[in-house]
Amino acid sequence: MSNTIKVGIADMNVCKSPDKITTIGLGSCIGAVLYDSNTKTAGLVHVMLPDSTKIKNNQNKMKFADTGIDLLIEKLESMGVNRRNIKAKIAGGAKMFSFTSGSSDIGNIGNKNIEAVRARLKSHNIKIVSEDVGLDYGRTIVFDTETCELSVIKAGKQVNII
Amino acid sequence: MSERLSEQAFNALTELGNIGAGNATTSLSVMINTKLTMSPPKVDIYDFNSLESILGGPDATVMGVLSTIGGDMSAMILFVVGMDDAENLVKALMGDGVEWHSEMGISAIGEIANIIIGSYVASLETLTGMKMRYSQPESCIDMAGAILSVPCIEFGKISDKALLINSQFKAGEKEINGYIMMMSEIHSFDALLNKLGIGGIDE
Repeated sequence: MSNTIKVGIADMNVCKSPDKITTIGLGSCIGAVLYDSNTKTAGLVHVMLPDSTKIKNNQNKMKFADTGIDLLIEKLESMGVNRRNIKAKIAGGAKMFSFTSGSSDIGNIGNKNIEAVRARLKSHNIKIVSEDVGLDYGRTIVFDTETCELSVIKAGKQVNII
Repeated sequence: MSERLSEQAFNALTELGNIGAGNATTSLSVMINTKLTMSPPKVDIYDFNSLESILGGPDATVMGVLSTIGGDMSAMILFVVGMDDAENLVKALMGDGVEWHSEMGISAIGEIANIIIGSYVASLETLTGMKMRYSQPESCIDMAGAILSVPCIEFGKISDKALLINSQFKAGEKEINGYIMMMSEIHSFDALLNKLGIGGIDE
């Protein structure tokens, strides 16, 4: 029997086949799945912000695109995954509210998160196999280690498998 | 680090929520010509993952209308109703002829939220003598978790927790249930508590 491992906000976890891994209700945050199809091992990190170096309170590494992805790679390596076999699928980074005024970057944080996740993965030479990012809706994601498919579920239950 | 509210701070914030949401609920009550009841606000410090469960779980679909508050204090006010509540709210306001998820229905709820948030902020200003300005509210229908990610990200720049004053209103006979949530990063409330002559939040 397979279990489904849940990952919260600014949180991370890993699993092996036949288990699945999920995070619920991604808005402007990003769910980044890093996986190795050979060993059927996967990890998911749910990051909230793009850059840990710009934030004073950055102890929680899983909160940021840069440190969160680094940490997940280390974790997968500690499970015997070869870094060169890691691939990625990412989802989230939506613009939930269309604020246009004010000094806050609420309207733009989703895009910044997408860019930061892409850049960090690129710096590790990890290929993004598929993504469902941006636009204006929330997403729940479930990654199946058996098939390496990522199901992206919108409110109203439409599913996009990437 | 474990922040906690002193009893005095807890009581003060509960009372602010009572008056703020009370006035807001009265405005709504007049608009929809229905008697509304409000339960006493819940004041608590939440970590981001427990915040989602308040609105029926992270994947419950809700309508949220969000306004950011600036000025002497930075915070957010989120007005939240479930799908059925949104439908009943539009019905109470505009009659049976209008689909709630039409442009007109959604903008009607946005306008209700605008008035509610305006009256909440005005009460806070009167009570504290602070100057606050609030943004034009923006609405969104989606998963509770996705909607709450927006304030969480904003407060997440400073900490991993949020302080929430959550007031729930009910219109019994018309089956309308909703939440008025004032929230911020914990220490944003210090200025407000100081204005009331109460110490900030312990660390």
